[in-house]
Amino acid sequence: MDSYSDPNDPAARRYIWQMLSLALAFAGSTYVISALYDSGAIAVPLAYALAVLPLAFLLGTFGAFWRFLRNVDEFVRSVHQRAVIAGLFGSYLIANVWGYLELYLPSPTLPAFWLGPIGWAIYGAVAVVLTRRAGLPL
Amino acid sequence: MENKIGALRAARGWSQGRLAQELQVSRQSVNAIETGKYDPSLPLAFRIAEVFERRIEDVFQPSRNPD
Repeated sequence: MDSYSDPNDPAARRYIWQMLSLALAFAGSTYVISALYDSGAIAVPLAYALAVLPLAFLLGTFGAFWRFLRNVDEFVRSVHQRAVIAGLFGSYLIANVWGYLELYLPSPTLPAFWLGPIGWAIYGAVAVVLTRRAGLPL
Repeated sequence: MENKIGALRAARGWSQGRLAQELQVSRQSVNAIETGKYDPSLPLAFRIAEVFERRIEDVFQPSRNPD
C-alpha cells in the first residue's frame, strides 16, 4: 500500500480517474441540461427529472472519496480526514457569513452550488499544508 | 509518544520503504511514525512490535513532554 502521492498505487490511480471522470460528467451534464432547458427543448417536468443526473455523479464523487479513504493506510487517511473536516467547516463558515451579509447588507448573491467547489478547494489546500507539515512529498 | 523504530530499523539495515513493505503501510506513514509526527493506532503499533520481535513497550514509550 502506498500513499495518494504515488501514481503507481492502484488505489490512488483508481481514485484520480474516478474523480476526474465523475467531475467532468457532473459539469457536462449540468451544462447540457441547462442549455436544453434554456433553449426550450425540454419541458419543466423533464428538466426536474434530468436534474437527478448531475446529483448521481456528485454522489459518485463522494463514493469514490470514501473508497479512497478505505484503501489508504491510517496515516494518509488521517491527513485527508483532517483536510475534509477543514473543507466542511470552511464552507459552513462561508455559507453562514455570506448568508448574513446577503440578509442584512447589500451584498452580491453567492449561488449555493459554489459551496461544494469552495469546500473541495479548502480541502485540497489543507491537505497540501498537512502533507508538507508532516515533511512528506506531495 | 516516543519510539525506537529508527534504531530498530537501522539495526536490521532496513530502509523506511522495506519496513513499510513489512507493515503493509506507506513509506510516508513509517516516516511520520518514526519522526513522532504521527502516533500509530494500537493494531499498527502491535504489528510494528511484532515485525521487530519486541514487546510493544520496548518499541513505544510515553512521551516525557506530552502535548
